[in-house]
Amino acid sequence: MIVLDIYRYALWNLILKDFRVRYRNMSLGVLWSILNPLIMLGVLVVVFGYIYPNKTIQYYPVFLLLGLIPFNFFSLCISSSTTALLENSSLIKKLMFPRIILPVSIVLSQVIHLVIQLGLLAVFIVMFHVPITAHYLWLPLIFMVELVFILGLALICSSLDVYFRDTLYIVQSTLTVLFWFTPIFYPASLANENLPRPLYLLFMANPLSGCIEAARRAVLGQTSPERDLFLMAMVVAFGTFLLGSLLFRKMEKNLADYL
Amino acid sequence: MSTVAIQISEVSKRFILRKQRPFLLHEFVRKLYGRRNPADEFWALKEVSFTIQKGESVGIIGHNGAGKSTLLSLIIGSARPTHGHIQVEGRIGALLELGAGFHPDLTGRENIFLNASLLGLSHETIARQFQAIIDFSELGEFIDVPIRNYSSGMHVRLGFSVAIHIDPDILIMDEALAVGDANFQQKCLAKIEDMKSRGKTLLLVSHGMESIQKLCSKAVWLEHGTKVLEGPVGEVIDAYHKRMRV
Repeated sequence: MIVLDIYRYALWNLILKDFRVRYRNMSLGVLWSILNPLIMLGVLVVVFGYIYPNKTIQYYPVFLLLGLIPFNFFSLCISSSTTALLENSSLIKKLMFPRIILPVSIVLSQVIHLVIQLGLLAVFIVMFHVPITAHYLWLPLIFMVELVFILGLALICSSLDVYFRDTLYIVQSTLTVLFWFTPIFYPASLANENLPRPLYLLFMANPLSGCIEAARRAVLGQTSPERDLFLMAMVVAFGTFLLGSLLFRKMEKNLADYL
Repeated sequence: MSTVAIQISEVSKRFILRKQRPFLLHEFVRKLYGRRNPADEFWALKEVSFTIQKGESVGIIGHNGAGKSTLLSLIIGSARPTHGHIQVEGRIGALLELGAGFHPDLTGRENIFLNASLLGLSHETIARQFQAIIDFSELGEFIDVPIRNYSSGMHVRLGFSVAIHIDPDILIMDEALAVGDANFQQKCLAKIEDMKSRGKTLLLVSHGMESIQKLCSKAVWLEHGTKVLEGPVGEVIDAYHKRMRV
């Protein structure tokens, strides 16, 4: 934390760098951040609204966005931070600075996309006349938990990727699998009904599921998160963060030798 | 206040050589059981010790693969020694071979801020030096072009310019002067002389003896990762040449 304070300006420059590198050669630039979930939303609404309709879920597009937005944020952060160290090898080899600011800067630079997509969510909430209640105040906490989980995974994936270059491919496959095993276009309650109890707990041990479920309860169910499930998400998220920090500290020592 | 700028004590650096991929699963398993094929090891530095006083200018000479660049990367701290330790006092401005820590997709202007901030400088400090850095580098309008389009000379000019403008206590150069054209070399030499006269410490690596003879008072000769000789620059270079002729 002290490190982050001294290098706050460096961190800011890295976030800017990430942004510039990403959008320099795109004509639509940051607009992709809105287009991407809109396209996915359109596809899922057509499939599950018309082709294979799910009539039991109210405000289905909002329900979908509440799953898609956290998942998109997660997926973008993890896939881009996995290569954070490899892609910045020119900096690591020539400069001495705390390496941890590289994956952290990439995750933080994705927060802007999250904010834009949350704006989109707000538009949909108003459009579909979803009641606005005090339970929305749970949302900042829910996304904080997700962010902690993401930071932990980013530290793990980025440091592993230097030593095992297969990491990126494992991460990409896992993200595809996770898309189906996270309650995005179906409610978590379906998993609860149809999966054996231990499997369901494993399913919900993924903080991403916990966060999506909690966000849906806050916005659509107008209730607080289910206490035990949300606590479990928090424990797993902070545990991952702790593990990631320890692993990163160990791995960063000889980083320059492997790049 | 100590008078030592850089202290290198019994420093060794081991690299694990892998034929193709960085880290294979079966190697990982083998490592778990504590076995490693000794042929895979390479000691780039073996128990090297010497001290550089503040205000001294020291040249490191030796053949390709003698461990010169490895030693510099340990001094600036981008890599860590396997054994021994290194103590550095003061801020380092460094220009290592092939670039100074820039990101190829960013422009020169953006890289100045990124590079200097990673060295721990604040926005105000960088902004104050910014125009001087651009002027010295003579990059003109290229300052707003991504670094990947720079020639090697332009790259070095910007790197050198950043290194000297961040108010370093220790200036470290690795073969850097070999790249720029004659004009720019003269300008750099003058700047280095100027910094020396202001009591800054200089550490120069080269296999060209000329610049070392001109700029340094002391020299360290490395061969196959060990220190062969250390002393006044004339003596060390003479001994080095004598060995070459045999």
